[in-house]
Amino acid sequence: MNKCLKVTKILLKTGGDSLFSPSKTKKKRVLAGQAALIVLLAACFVPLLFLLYRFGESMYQMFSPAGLAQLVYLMILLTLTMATLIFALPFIMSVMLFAKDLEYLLPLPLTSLQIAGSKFLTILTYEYATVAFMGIPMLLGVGMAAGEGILYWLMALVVLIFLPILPIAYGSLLGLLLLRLMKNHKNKESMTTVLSILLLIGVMAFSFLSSYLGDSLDEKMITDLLLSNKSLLTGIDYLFPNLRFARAALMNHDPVSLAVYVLIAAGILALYLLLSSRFYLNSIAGMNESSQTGKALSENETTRALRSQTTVRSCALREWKLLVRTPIYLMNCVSMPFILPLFLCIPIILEMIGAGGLASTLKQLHLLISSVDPMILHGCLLLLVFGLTALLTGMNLTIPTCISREGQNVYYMKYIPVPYRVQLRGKVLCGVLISMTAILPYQALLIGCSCYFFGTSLMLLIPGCLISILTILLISYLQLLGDLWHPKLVWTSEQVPVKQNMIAMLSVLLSYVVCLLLGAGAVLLYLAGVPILPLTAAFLLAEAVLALLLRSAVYRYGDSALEKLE
Amino acid sequence: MISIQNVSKTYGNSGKKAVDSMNWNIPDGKITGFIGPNGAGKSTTLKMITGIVKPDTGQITLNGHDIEKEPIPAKQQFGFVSDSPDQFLRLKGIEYLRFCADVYDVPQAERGEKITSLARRFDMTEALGSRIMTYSHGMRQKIMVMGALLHNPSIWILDEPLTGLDPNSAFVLKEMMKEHAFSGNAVLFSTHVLETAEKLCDQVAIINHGKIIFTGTLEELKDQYPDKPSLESIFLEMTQHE
Repeated sequence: MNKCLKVTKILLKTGGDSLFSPSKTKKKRVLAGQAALIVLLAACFVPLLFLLYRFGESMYQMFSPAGLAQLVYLMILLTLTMATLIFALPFIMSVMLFAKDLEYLLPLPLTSLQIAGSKFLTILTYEYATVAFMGIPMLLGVGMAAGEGILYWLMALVVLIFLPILPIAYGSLLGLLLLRLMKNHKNKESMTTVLSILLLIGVMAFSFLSSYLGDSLDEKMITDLLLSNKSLLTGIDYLFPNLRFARAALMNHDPVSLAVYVLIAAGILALYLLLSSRFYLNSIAGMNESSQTGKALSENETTRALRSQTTVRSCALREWKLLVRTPIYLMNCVSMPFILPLFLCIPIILEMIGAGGLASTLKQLHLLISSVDPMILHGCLLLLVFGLTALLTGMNLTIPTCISREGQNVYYMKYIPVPYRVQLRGKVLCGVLISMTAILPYQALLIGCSCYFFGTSLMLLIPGCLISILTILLISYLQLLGDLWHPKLVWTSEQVPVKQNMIAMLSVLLSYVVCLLLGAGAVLLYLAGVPILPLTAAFLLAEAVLALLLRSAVYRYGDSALEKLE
Repeated sequence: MISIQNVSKTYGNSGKKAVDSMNWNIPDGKITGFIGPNGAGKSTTLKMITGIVKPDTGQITLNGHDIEKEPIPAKQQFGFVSDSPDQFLRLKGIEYLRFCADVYDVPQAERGEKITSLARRFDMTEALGSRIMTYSHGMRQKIMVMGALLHNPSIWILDEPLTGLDPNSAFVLKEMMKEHAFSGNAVLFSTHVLETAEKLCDQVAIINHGKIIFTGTLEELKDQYPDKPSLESIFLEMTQHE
């Protein structure tokens, strides 16, 4: 056990590089900047914590008078369990399945039980953040609404401590099963990529479906669904047998139920350890190995492969190949702007179908929109194009991680005879092309659909494309500036420069803020009655000037930032 | 030729000089071995010569081009092999070489012939179509050497180039270093293996605590320590009593 804890400590230290790792040289200035970032992040999270608290409180106030308090606990515990499962899956993949530390752990005098156990404890530690963030405010809301005493708070604490064990064990066992299935596949890396993307789609589909159900079902429907459909409750109890006892412990302050809840978690953990100690190392061995083709290239292939190209294009191509061939980069940097619009649209279409059929909803929308001044409608559509572009460019993490992803090998940028700005232009070219490939078809589809259903002008494609291109450039230069300012170069796992990168997180956050501002923009447009055409022209001109100024500033800053990097 | 004049470097606020007032000329037509204990300043010196690290004071020129004032022409002069070959692992060998050819402006007409010749000498012909991550440590080292030599640089700077190479490839690289120096070019390589330095180098430089404590031929070095039976004992004497 002692060794297991020691390995866990090392895994946490090496895998979970700090989000805020200041460079030694500019420590004071960077620390001040990071303090500001922490305040900004906290400001974003506080409203969410309050919403979670209100959720727990209002659920209790809503259901308790009808004698359905058990449903409140069921929903909260189930939400927490599913959230843990969803958030644990990426950790299970990176810590357990695709970690490269096994080649260092295997030669050590450790049993497979100790290795599997330490991996589990590492994920569990990460997951306590999720459980604490979501669980404490929700259970606090319920407890306050119910006027609970000390016993409830103690029991809630124990419930939260043992809650992540089941979902992590389930996720890990599912991962092991998939590994067994793909063990003999020749191209393991492409299988890994496909599996990762499928998993990502699955996770997003589940979360969107949950939010869709949450939005479209009212209180009575949820009650009816849960009470009339006994098999649903039974199914939940079979899948997560511990939740029934957690419910009873919280509701009735029953120590026996709490003890059974803890025992079930301990039993599942023991079962997981037993199975993983037998299968984990066997399944994982050789996962990262791949073999050579062993075939010499023909003269034609060699000539084709060595075709000369400009240095910018060569740098962009190198960036692109490294991005698409690294599963973590492909999933987190490249695929998001392509996948996200689908997940935004599908729930909306489902909701429209649910609200009385697509045709009738569109007809109602058409009636509503026909009363709006066409110029304001055009303005709103262009605002929507801007919002979509800002959101998806913010989700494209290619540029905000382009220096960080180089890691310790960044020094190659310094000894090759290529000016820094040329190398940076290659990186920007790659990121911008990814954004354009993802965004331009979506914005064309948006304007096309609007023209077909609501009769707006197809000519909006011209300003729409211009807005998209200029917005992509503007945000990309901002993202590059961020990564040049604070690159995360010290890492051992490829997920760190992408997932634990402050600048990447800010990039996503910024895209959300832009979308929020758009709502205000649309309202202003409507109220102020500003003429749309001159406004669009002025907006495009401002964006173009800003993009040009920013481009020159970023490359100038890039020269000095890379020069100082040692 | 590489010329280092009065170069010093201190990292952070430690006050301890990693390289201290270094003056050193690495001549053409010779293989120069760069030896010294761990932490003596070898890597910092090589990093300053290649433009990775900026010196606090002094000047470094490569074939007359100042690495700080004319970085691009200066960097065109050398081929550099770092001590870590774990780079660009997800690129195929041929893709890495194309990247090198593009950034070093190797003309289209020369690429195929040069790569075929290097691949044959290093026994890498069948590996070029595979990703570098599938290579062994030695093969990674060989592809990095190939990338560094692709543009026929007049100066070779090699940081521990023989580590991990099989005897055949090590022999080939050593022969190539000799040929290159024989043609009037400069070869600078760092090593911990004194036997290699003894057999391969025309001259050596020994660094300790950031200062060059000896430059010259091995014969000159042995003459200074007539009572010492081997290069190893001379090296230990010099670095332990500094």
